[in-house]
Amino acid sequence: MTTSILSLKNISVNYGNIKALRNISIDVNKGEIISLIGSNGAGKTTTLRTISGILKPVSGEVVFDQQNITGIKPHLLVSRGVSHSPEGRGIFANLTVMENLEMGAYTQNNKAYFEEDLEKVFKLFPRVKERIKQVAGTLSGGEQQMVAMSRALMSRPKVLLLDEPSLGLAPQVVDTIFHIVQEVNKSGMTVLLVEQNAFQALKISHRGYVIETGEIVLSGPAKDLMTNPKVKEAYLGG
Amino acid sequence: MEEFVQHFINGISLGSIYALIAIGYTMVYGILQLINFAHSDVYMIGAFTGYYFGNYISRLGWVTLPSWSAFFFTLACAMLVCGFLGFMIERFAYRPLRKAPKLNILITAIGISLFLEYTGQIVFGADPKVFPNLLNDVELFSSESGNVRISSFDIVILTVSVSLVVILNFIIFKTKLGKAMRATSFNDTWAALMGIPVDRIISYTFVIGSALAAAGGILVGIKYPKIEPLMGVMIGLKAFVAAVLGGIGNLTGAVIGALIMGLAEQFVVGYGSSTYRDALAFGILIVILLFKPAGLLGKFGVEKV
Ligand SMILES: Nc1ncnc2c1ncn2[C@@H]1O[C@H](COP(=O)(O)OP(=O)(O)OP(=O)(O)O)[C@@H](O)[C@H]1O
Ligand SMILES: [Mg+2]
Repeated sequence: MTTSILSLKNISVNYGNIKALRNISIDVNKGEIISLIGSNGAGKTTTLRTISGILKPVSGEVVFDQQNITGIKPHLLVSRGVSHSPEGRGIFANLTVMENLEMGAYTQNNKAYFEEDLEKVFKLFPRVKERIKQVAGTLSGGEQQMVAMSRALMSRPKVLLLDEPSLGLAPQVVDTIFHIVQEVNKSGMTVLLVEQNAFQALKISHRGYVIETGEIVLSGPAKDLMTNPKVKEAYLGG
Repeated sequence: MEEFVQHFINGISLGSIYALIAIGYTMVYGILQLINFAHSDVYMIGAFTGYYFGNYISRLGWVTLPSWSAFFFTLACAMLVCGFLGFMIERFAYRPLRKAPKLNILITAIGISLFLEYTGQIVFGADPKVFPNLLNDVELFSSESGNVRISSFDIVILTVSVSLVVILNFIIFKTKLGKAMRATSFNDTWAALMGIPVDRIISYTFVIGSALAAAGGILVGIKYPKIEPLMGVMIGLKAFVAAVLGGIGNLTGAVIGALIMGLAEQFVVGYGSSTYRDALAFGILIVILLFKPAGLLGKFGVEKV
């Protein structure tokens, strides 16, 4: 049985006159990894920013956990269970790694849970533990991505929104990141993964959506998308 | 040499007052990229709050003047009143314009500043008032020649400002609130994605900066006891230059910049002429803008990945 935990219903978003999203609908079920793939400027980031309330849709609804959260203030979403790791990692370069993690846990008032979650992310990313006292701006891109993911997990989200976690990273690091996404998913986390790296994203996903110039043009089980000739041609290099 | 020591002491004392005001400029700039022109007038309101409150509590016989309790009650009262004023200014003048063009906000800031100055002239009167004698100034040390004197006010000013700066540092670097302030000043959208209530953090920034300016107002009140509604203009400008000199947005920079400003001013007055006292601030501003626009500790255009 599948239950929807997050859904976008006929969402349209404009930037001034630019129509960035046109009537898109996405359904994310509990326990799934869903990937949203598309090329530059397709509207992937806009979709995530709309879910987390940074942008207000001109029409449509965002429903999370049976509740309409359209246009909610972004900071209120975290305690409800959505954690959004933004494009470009969103690391606070002026804070230490530890402080970044503390900010991830801003809404977490239970000290014992905090310690527990810290241990968990240290296990997932031993590198983060090694760098814990360092100012985050001095970390390598890959390390920063690890911190960004760790930080996103510190609020104990029900749904994790990841915006291009593989962006600009060496292939090995990308493998690590995707592997961890799978790991946290196995422990019950629902993930909405935005990627240009379509092949690797689909490989670890249950289902996927393809977005082009603000419209969902294809969707279905990840396996099917990977073998779909159109997807292959456009995103998987033929 | 003795003369030098004396100018040095005066410079540090003056500089530490500039620091209390410069911190407010730099904190607000760090978080909103806004030069809060009204800040210097909040400092003025701090001094006047001290004036009325100090006189009031002594008239009621709650405390006797001069006394430590009178000083500390008045200091606390001015900090509370100005903290609240800073909160109101942000809440009702700046917040509605958060997404407006920078120029609109800048003009609003100037408007608030003029509003406070002219309201001050109407309510308090334009003529200078004599600040109540909250504390006695005693000479703690005097060299044989009499050229070096340390008065208790120098020590009070230094102790109060250093304590406040230490407390502030603790808040900014060690508490959850302070960390959230630093995160918000780096990128407010990302901060919101962490669940940080950005609006509330901005309010706190104004409250803290304004309370520190009020403390500056009280310290100036005891040391230079003539206060008037335009008293914030020049000192505000100097504190602002201090913040720019240190690298606006940078807390340590503001304190260092303020000390440099205070020292430079005392030395110019001591060895040169007091005619240049105020011109110096403009001179320093021009030199920084020409040669080091990011300031001493500033990172220009903080990398936002
Ligand atoms: N702040 C903005 N103002 C105006 N237009 C914008 C803004 N942000 C995005 N857009 C436009 O909206 C469209 C969708 O942008 P979006 O950032 O969602 O794309 P994306 O799929 O995330 O692309 P990328 O893979 O390059 O990150 C693009 O055409 C972009 O130019
Ligand atoms: Mg994007």
